[in-house]
Amino acid sequence: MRKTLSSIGISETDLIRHCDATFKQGAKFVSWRLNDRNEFYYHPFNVPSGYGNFDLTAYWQKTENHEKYGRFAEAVDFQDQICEAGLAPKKITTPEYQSVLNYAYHFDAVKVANLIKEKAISLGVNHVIDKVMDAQLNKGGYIEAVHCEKSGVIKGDFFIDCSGFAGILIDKTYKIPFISAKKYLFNDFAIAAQIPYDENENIACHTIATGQKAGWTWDIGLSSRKGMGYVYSSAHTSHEDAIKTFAEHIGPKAEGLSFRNIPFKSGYREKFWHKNCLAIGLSAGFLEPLEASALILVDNSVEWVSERLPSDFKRMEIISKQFNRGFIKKWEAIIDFLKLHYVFSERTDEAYWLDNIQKETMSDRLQDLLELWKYHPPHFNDTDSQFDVFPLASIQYVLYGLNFKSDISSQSHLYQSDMLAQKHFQNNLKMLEKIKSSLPNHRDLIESIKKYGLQKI
Amino acid sequence: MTAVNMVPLDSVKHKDLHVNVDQSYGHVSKQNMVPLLAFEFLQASTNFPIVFVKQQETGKFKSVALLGLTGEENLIFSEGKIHSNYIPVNVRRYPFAAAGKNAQESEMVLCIDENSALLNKSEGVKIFEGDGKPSKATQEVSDFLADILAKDAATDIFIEFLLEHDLLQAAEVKFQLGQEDDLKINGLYKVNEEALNDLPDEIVLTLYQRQYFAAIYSHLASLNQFNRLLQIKAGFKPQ
Repeated sequence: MRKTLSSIGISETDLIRHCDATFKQGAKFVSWRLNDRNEFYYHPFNVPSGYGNFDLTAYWQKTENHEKYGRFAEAVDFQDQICEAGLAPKKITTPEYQSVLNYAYHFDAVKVANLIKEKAISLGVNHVIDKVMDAQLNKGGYIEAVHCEKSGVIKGDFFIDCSGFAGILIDKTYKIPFISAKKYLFNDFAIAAQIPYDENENIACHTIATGQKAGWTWDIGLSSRKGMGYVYSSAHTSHEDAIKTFAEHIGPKAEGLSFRNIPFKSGYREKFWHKNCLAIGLSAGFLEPLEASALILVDNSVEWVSERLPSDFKRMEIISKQFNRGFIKKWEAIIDFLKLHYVFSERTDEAYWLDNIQKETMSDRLQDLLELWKYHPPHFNDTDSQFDVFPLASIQYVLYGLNFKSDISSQSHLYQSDMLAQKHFQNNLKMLEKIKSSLPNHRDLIESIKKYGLQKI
Repeated sequence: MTAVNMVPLDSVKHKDLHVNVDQSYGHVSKQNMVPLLAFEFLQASTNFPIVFVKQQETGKFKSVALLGLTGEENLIFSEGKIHSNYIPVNVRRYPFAAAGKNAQESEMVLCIDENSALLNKSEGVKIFEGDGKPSKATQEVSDFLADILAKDAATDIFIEFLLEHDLLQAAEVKFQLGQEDDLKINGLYKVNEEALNDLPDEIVLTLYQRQYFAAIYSHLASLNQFNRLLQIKAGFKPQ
């Protein structure tokens, strides 16, 4: 996201000032393993110390180490503690888009869309707002033009379907089938609310996802307000109960709010790129917003198109095949990764959580990996780096955040570098000490950026 | 060292105060940089490096005279000696300062560091006359500070111009000091000569009209004074 915004030429200061944007350093998962609000783990954006060269996971598993250095995320990196302390991932002196700790954003999507729109228009894009009624195909099945309510016929060589759930081109025109993910991810309804801050309340620098009776709630801190929501499975709770659960989670500020239960379908298209039409965004598919995968997929799709915009229809066919192959893999891997958040839950008092740990609700690929990880800590070979949206580090954070242990006793000869492991753990504590005192509070940084702006260099 | 405590000058509270003059400017002896205004670059450039740094509070760039190579080191003003033929106005003005630069306050407020060792009740120059009016010396200081404020604002505009035309870049400063590890100074910025040479004609004309060239080339020439700091350091014995 940082790379995309910066390459479009949007200033990070403008993003913070005009889109209610804040920094996001990862996600905090509360009450996923146990039905206990004090139980949590982090999936930070920093990778573990030694990542790619020296795998700390087996060492963290050793009792003396996890007793001494704590949760997996706080033992192998310091971002967990920076988030807990409410600190920002950079300073006012850090240039735009550069970081002290890795980060993404929380923002008001409508406002970001507007910012990008204005940028595009300034670069010469002709922006027409209209309703697409239908598409006109040529003999080969390619879209020649779309018919709009006010503007009439708009011709084109290439059409991106960004019409959201409506899927005006990919669904209505091309009838590309939808592959449901419901047997893996049960949630099919959402409720959302905007909650004001208390005076001087800090802004969480991470998404907080809290396990609930039949789903989970999100808690996202923008600069002007908090966005909260409950994603749940209607097979495991009634809509009335869901509203009750959500209102309880919000607390006193829920009073007077009216809620709407919005249905959604988890899944994705069999193809995203068909002929000269590419579906990006909700028209391509939807999954519960647990790890912001929708945003990443949009980002990846746009990057792909901008780098490989075909020169003609013959080339387009080849590129579209590549795209579809790659993105199907991405969607499958994301579904497995989201499912991974559920599979080691020890919440035994609710059907939702019990059903989620059943093998038949996991893909064959995920079942295989879980079998493997029982005896082998996750390895780069377990992911497909070309297509996996979430890298090995993400898998490690979730897996070990849920207190998973690989039984490495038969391969203990592989894990004899205790001195080196200690050095990593110790170095991490030193880095935390050093960085903690130099970083500003998250809200203070947002206020400073609004006031002074960030420098470009 | 006591922390600086700048307060507005008050004819009642401060009526008996006198200011001693310290020709060695000991108050900066633990500071490795002081603000330097664009109009000073030319005269200052043969003494110490002139660089750009970001202010910790705002991230905004300021131009500074670099007077030492490590945090609290001042090689130029130390031990009662001055290794410079130019004294920056922001050193000379002490213990006075001006506040009230923002648009709402048209009047400049003259401030004084109440903790300054230069203040006393008998020696030096009187701040107020017996009738409570500012002394002639105070009036002169006030005019001097008003001039500094205007030139400080002009310096900000100069730096904005450099940024707007992508003329600043991070400066890599690294030394080998004897047997010690390399000394690296981070957070310093300088004018990018290549970018300067690539400027379109109309921008070059603007630079000329605004008389920025003297400041830019003085700054670039002053970067050679890192060697001078190293030489002073070699013969320098901290207290």
